[in-house]
Amino acid sequence: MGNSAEYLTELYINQLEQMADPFRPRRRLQRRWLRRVSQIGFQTTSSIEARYSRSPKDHGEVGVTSTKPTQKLRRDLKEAVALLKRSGVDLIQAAVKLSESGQEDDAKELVMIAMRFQEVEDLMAGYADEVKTGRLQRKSESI
Amino acid sequence: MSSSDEELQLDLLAAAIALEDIASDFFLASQQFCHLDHPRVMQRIRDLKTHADRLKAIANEVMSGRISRSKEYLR
Repeated sequence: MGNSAEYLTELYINQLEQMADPFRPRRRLQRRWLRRVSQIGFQTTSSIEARYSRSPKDHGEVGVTSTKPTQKLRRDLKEAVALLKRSGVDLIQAAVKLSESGQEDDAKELVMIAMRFQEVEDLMAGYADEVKTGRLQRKSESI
Repeated sequence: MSSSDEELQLDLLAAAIALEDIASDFFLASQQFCHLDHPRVMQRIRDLKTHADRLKAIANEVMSGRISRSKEYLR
């Protein structure tokens, strides 16, 4: 494998590492706990709710109660981020294959495309966080 | 529409275009690589198009004022 192939493989591994989220099972448990609490009608204090609705990496941010349309907006944005991430990884994979077959120029072009999508992905992730902090809000009825 | 709303709308449209670009790149790649799992690629292209349409709809909501972005974070 040539140098550029090694570089592309390294990029691919980095993307995979970014995709791996060690807190995902924990968050799923937290969501289940909150759902259960709301089902049995247990009164949660705002501090507990804020604590369990936040991810560990958002430590220090104030939790803002959001409406269902706003939650859906955040979910849509996060789904778009995940899709961009998955597709970026697939493009890098394709670039590795191109590089291995000797089409270095095409491989580099694909990597450049994947990198450009990374910027958009970061933007969308930023907006999803803005929804969480309450900066972005969606009204329940259209104007 | 405020400048922050305009910025949000443009970014959403840029993201939608990026998703559509990826979809067309996947389509081209699926034609170039015969060994690819074509139903899976087609499903991915459909997903990308769906999400692009969703982002465009969100951008339209920003334009109509249903989604608003305040200038400062509420803390």
